[in-house]
Amino acid sequence: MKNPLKKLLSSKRKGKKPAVARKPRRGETLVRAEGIAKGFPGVWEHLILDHINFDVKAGEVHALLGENGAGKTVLANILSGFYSLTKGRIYVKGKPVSIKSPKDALELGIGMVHQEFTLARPLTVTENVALGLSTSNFSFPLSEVEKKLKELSERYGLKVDPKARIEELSAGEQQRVEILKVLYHEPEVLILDEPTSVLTEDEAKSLFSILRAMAKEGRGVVFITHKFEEVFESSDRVTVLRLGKLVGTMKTSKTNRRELVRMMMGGEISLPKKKPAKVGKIALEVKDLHVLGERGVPAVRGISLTVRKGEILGIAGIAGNGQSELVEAITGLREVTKGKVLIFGKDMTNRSPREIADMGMGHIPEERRRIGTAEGMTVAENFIMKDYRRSPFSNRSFLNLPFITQHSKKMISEHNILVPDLWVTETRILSGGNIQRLILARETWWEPRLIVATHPTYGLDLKAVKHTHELFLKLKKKGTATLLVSEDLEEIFSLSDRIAVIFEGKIVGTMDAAKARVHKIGLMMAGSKG
Amino acid sequence: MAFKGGDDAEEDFGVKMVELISTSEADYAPNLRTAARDPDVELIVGVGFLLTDDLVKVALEYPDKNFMGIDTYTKWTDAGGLKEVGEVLPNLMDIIYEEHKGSALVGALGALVAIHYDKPYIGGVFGIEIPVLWKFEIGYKWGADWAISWYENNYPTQYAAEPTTSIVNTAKKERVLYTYTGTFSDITKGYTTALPMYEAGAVAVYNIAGPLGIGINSVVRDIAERDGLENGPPFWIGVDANQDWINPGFVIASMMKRVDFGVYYATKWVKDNTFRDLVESEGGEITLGVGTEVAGVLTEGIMISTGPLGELDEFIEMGVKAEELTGERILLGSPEWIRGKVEAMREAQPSWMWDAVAELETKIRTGEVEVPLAFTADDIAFWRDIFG
Amino acid sequence: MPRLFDAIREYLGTLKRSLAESLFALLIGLLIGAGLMLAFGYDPIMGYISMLKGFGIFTIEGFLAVLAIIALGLLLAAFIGAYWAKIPQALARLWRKKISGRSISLVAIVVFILFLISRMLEFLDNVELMEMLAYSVPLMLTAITFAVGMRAGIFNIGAEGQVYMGAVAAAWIGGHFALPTGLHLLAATAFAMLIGAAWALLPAILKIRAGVHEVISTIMLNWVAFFHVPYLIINRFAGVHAERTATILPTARYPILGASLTAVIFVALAACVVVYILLWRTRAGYELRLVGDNPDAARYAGINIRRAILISFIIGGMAAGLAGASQVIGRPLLGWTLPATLGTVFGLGFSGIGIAVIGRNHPIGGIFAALLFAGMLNGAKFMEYDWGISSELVVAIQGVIIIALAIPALLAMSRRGVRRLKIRRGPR
Repeated sequence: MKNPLKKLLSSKRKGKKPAVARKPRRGETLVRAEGIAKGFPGVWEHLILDHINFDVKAGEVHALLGENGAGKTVLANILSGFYSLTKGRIYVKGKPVSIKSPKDALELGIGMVHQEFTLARPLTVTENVALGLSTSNFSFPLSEVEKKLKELSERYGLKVDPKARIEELSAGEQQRVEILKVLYHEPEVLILDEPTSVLTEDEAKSLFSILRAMAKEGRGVVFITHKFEEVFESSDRVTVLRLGKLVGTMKTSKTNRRELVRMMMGGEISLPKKKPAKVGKIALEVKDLHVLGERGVPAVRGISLTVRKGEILGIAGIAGNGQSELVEAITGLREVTKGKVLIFGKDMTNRSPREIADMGMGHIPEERRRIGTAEGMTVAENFIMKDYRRSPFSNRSFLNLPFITQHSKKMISEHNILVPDLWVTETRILSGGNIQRLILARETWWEPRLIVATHPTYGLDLKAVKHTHELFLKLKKKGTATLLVSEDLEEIFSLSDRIAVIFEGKIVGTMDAAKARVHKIGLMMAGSKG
Repeated sequence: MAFKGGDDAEEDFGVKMVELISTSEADYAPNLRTAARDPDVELIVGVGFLLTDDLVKVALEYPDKNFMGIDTYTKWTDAGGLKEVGEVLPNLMDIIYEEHKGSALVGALGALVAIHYDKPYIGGVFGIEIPVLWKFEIGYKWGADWAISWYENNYPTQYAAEPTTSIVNTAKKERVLYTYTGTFSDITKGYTTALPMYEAGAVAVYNIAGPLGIGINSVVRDIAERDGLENGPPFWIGVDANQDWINPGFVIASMMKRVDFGVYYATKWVKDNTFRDLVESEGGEITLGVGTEVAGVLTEGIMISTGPLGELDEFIEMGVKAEELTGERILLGSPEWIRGKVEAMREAQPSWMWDAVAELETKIRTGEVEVPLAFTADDIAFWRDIFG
Repeated sequence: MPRLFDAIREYLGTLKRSLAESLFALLIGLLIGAGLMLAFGYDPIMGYISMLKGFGIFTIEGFLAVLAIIALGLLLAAFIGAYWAKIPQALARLWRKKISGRSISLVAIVVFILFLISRMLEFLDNVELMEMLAYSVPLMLTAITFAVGMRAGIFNIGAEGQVYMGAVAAAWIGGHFALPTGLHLLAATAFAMLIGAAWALLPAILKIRAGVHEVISTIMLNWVAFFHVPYLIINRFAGVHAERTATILPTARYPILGASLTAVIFVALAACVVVYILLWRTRAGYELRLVGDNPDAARYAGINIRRAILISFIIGGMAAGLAGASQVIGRPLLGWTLPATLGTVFGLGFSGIGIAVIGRNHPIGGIFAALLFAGMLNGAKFMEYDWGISSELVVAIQGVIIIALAIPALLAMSRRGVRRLKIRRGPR
């Protein structure tokens, strides 16, 4: 702070602050956005946000609901200074403001917690928070930060050890750190982008009670979601966006699920009716499987299951109970330490992914960007990841590009994938939903005899979910055996013939879907014996 | 050094010199051609034996221009089939130097200094092991050996009474510590190679790796600073130019290879219109060395910097000029101070030492002794078997 | 022919963005270089005009001729891009003597364009242009080594050592064996590529078997080669003069086209095109690039990652070996010998890294980057000769331009790296 100019600037900022720092009245409008429009260069004709009005009041929890691509995140990013706006006005406590950077937004009392973590993994919680402080000139006031962190975490029940290093923390704890990082600036408006996407149910519950407590203090809390349960459980008001347009804002208590679905979708969904399965021979058999997890800890501890032809077996469970490791072991990506994997009666334990795939198995992986696609390669090249060895995709070790083009075009039109150019567009610029559709298309077009799918509809809009579900049922009718892993009970129930519940690396119960009840499955997922 | 010859020629003959520095060997032919295409150019000098074949090639392409190579052997190459071995081109002259003779002189001097200060070794820091350096290595070792024999013959009683740490009592094969560093540019290697030599008791280290001498000099400076020395030992021995001024008092002498003389003479011959005649009469090859003659005129190119101090001034002057040009300090002190320090250092050594070196020079000149010339792998094996 | 025009348009479209970026970067580099010249009291415009001479451009007409050649080159590349799949098939059909009108016409067009370019070179009789092309040959090849490595996710900086090994291998076959014309040339070239690949195999095996990082092993092997090859030259392969290899026999020399340029340039260009086809049109190339882009996805796709890495090292080693050979049997340097100082091959491998980066790790991009670099290398002497700009300053100016050109590509590479880290660490 030796620079006089800097000093001047900082004093100016301080002078601005009292106007905002006044404790707001309950119900006072903290932030109001009027006619917000946003277009991205090159696609001006298609506005991502089309003249949106939005406001946040002191003491409320406000849900921002919409399908993927509705513009929720973009709106949040504009309010918190990460994106600039193309058109429109933002008022903070009635005064027009211009937010040019996240720092501006924080100074005006608006903080945002992103869906993706932005923490430095080798550093401690305190250090991470200190990193974001603009006042620190390389010498961080660490002890002060730590003191305030402790106070904050006690006040809101955000339990985190300030001395812990980020890499030691679970996803839920990391998110708490992200929230603390923003709370440290004492924002009056806190925006959270899909905060529950990485949390267990319990963690989500405690998060919402924390948000509630913050609102009680007079802050305005906004969270982005596409889950109705969260809206009804935790919000005072809800704003629905659809394809960049505002559909409406209303009090949560004065609406219902059916109305919200219609607003979000522009129509009603009905899940496909299930027909009883005509099951055949055993397609996949897992016998007493043991697999180690990422840190060498047993993750799968003696799982046995069978999937028959023409049957969908749903694996329900809270994330982190061994589902990922189970799937990786079956598909050859992870070593089996004990037990057997039989595919169509043949022992495929610890065989290479290629050998297993060649048995006729499609695999829709959980981590679509990490392992499902090669993001630096073109869309066409991603379409042939599993098939490039086969004729006519390639002949005598040369790729058959005309055929690949033709095939990819067919996939694109069948699955409604938005791709600018097959051979030029790098896959990384596709949206999550489009990537998921690409993977679905690639893994199912050849009607495999066995499919292993993890969260197959994650990130898809409701229409695409419906389309995907129909696809699975169609394949089932043709005799495909499916192992479906999902956290979404709705999906499990609407697709599965049988449901197995996984808990701490073991199957704690298997039952006929027709006889299963959601309540009971939920209890089993939480650890109580069926 | 070739620049200095060009500068002197510019002054004396009213010619103009343009330089082209090759960054790799692939630049040789293109660079030579660029100069040869210039209608105003009369003489093109290539410095370094590696230019041999490219000089032949370009000299054949431009028969009207005169070419001269320093350290080259254009006469003895077929340049990949462009001419016969032994064939002399009328417009191309090789100038070769008797570095082995100069190295023998400094080798002898080094050994005598070691005797005087009762030190067990002398050292040599070499560049990349290419056969050209073998001349230096064997000349240096031979000179040291000659000096020790000389001492034994002229001062037998003192020889017998020398302490165990004296070089005369070091095994014949171990008297010269030498290392091929594998580089002509990595100055730190000069430091790290020379340091253990001085620590082991080398009284002087011969620099045969160009800029690595800066590293050797740093070792000497560090030792002098540590022990508060005004004069050597430790010493180092300069090469090519007179490097005595770089660190006066700590450079015992330099083996001067006057490349500038070669360039100067060649320019003179071109201006005299005797260049092509000389190429014919001397068989395309001119040797500059100790007591060498060209067309009956004494034309030397190798000498040891033990003569009158006046010749040091030329080099000090170069330093002064460089200081003016770059604005940086290059000389450690005023020219007078440098001259004084070099003089004092020389006077601090016993006179028999200088007499012995002078005696060797005369004997080389008259042909009484023959300094061995190592050029092939067989030669070097043979001589290393004797001198280590 | 309308399809050809479409193909050319499409090809130029893909080039457009990176081309624009590169041109902008080039401008910045030139400006900084001009600043350097000004700071040392030289006229930057005259300096750059002298540098242009290195590209064989002495007059406006010369400039236009060079532009015409570049246009033809682009046309050829576009043509190959458009008919990529058909050329090997056409060649294969020819090989099997099933001659169809189409295959003949395809091959004929390629031959015709090559012929046009060679005629133009002859017509121009431009020594400096030839010289520039001669400089570019080894550079475009060592660029392949790094580029193919990067495409497979490998930081292979071992081209330097592989070049030495390839050079000495070519010198050995070329100087010590009497073989018939043609066969001799072929044997020396092939052996150099073989030895280059063998030298690359060491870090490859260390990587695959023991997980030794390729940066460490290739750097160390570079030094091993740096000291070992001079030993071989002096003690095993020396000719009349002990400091260099025996003269390459005339039967093992590539015929000279003019100045220092030999027919080896056609081999080098062919190598670039072959590597391009290999990487983008074959299964093995697809696997290699998939491994480089995302090893996790490659595993998921059932690809043998070790094999892909091995292939990338072998291709790189062959290219570097050929680069070494090109300096011994493909360029009349030091009277067709390899000196023990390694001066004619030193630094080529490291220059290849920069060229690969500027060429966006693409073998065809590498050709253009190598030509640019070669022109600057060749132009250096004019800057010094005409204006007395010291060679050190010229090298500095070249360096500035190269760095400026590399920055967009380096940024793209680092962005990619950060993205992958994010994907690995993110929630899903």
